[in-house]
Amino acid sequence: MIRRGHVNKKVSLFDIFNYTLMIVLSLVFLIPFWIILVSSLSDNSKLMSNGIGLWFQGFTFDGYKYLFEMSNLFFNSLLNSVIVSFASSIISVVLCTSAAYVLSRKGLVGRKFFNILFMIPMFFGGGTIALFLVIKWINLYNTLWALILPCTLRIASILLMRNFFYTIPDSLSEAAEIDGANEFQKMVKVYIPLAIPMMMTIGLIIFVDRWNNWLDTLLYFDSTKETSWTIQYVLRQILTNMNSISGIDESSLAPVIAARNAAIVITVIPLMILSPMLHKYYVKGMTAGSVKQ
Amino acid sequence: METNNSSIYGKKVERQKPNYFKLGIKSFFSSNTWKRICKYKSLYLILLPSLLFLAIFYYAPYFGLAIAFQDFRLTEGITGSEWIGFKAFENIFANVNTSAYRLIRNTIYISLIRLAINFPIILIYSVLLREIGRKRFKSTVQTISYIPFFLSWVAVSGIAYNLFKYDGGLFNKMIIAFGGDPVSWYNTPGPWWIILAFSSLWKGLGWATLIYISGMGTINEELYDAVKMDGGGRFKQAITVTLPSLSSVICLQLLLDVASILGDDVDQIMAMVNGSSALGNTDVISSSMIMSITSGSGFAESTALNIFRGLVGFVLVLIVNRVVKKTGNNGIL
Repeated sequence: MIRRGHVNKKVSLFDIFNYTLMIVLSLVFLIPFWIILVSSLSDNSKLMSNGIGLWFQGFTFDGYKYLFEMSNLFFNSLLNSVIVSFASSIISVVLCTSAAYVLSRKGLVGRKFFNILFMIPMFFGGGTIALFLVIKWINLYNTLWALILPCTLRIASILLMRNFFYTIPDSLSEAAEIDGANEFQKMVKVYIPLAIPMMMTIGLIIFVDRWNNWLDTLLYFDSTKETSWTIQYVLRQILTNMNSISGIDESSLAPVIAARNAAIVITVIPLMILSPMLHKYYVKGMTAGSVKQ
Repeated sequence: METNNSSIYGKKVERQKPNYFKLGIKSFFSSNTWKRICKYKSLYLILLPSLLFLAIFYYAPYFGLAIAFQDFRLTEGITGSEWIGFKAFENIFANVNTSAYRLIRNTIYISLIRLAINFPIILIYSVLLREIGRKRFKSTVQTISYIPFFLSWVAVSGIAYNLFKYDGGLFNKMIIAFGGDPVSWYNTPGPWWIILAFSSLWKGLGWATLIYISGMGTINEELYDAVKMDGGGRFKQAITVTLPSLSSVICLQLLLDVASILGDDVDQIMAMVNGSSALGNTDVISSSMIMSITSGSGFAESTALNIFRGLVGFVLVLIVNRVVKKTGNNGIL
């Protein structure tokens, strides 16, 4: 009799191959991070003469120190990114959940019309240039709001929430109505508490998207507004054009290579540590639509 | 999909839709429809902020499509710039050697190569991952594979720079160690399509396998037992049970990838290539739009290309949707 879950004690050749392959792959995923970490803590002159290696070359914090001293820009931009990501996240959850709630109410007159209205931009957009012009037109150019607001109404999030609200039985709504609740109270007291995990999911999606975004800063700020730059944009400047930040060029004595890698390490660590938790919520968002009632 | 039909709201009733123009406007206000509107008027209020954002950030930009038909200057704006009709479109498509063809070619090639490389690898990896028995090992491997997904492309490009840079980059060091000549990666256009494909694989593998893994979770164990009884090894099991069971998921994924063939990940391309546009192989349609904003010219052509891209993409989605529905799955639309 074969027990379910019983693992055949004899290790086959295939298993050896498979497990080895998985280990190799995991190394492929991890080694790049390791290299960056190691290089950020290495002596810059050794890095310049020996190149990038797999191990520390003279353990030192010089790269990080240089990053602190170089300018306020790096940490200022961290702050900007935190503000933008949180603000976007909160606004997005509020907007998308409320829109999804309304779109899911069966009694709504014009529901089909509104649903189509929200779906069309998913397939056809006006383009980057058009959005740029709109942002200029409403005077958001060169302000942090240009980074926060445009992406908050994320149609995929609305769809996710709406489909979630579909799965809530109407009896709850009717019971609330018998208790004298109006639509707003129903939403706040009945539906939203049920939707909190899903709201976390859509909030996190926007958070990560804003944290990792650098193109918006490129487009919506001119070069004078350094104080509003976000972390990924500053990282890009550090990586490609260190001149523009510190006025120091690469061949000088400054620990540029180490500092660059230090910047990457600092930028990457928050999301790396959060990734198992984030992953859980992303999966929930992805599989929610496929739950069969 | 609404499944609960016990509600008294919006139940599908067979009725004649009254023609309010015939009956007079006043009758509308005593109809059921108006009563429902009044009953749910707070819903419209709740919807209002979203409608506002929708109007400003999604529908207002549609007016920007006019740029494709204008000799657009930033200083003049849409109202001030001269109309040139379809000249931009003519410029793009008339002459085969224009840069527009290069953009389209790059976009398609990058998508195709990414599809050709990533698709099989993701599938094979998912099937192999399923064969891992030890739970702790498996979940550790999976957790590790998810980490790159949450990185920004700027960070990934920084990591890649350490590998690809000419002086002392890890790859060149390995090449020298094996006796070869170092390659100036950032100045050679050739390998970049493959580099882009593999970097998106590195970043996206963990995430992409989820779809297949969840699909595989629903396969009946007895099918595998049957193959094992017949003496089938792992390979046979994979071929005869796993792949056919996943066929609808595989089909859907493949078709979705094909439908987005004119799409591009500008974020990835612009970050990885680091602005060395000596690489004529990596300019794509979206990056041309961004370039026109930063350079202040070429608006009409890039917007025209984007319209072209949007239309073709939409048609592709419609076709793919039809095909998907024909093979028995739920469509995208």
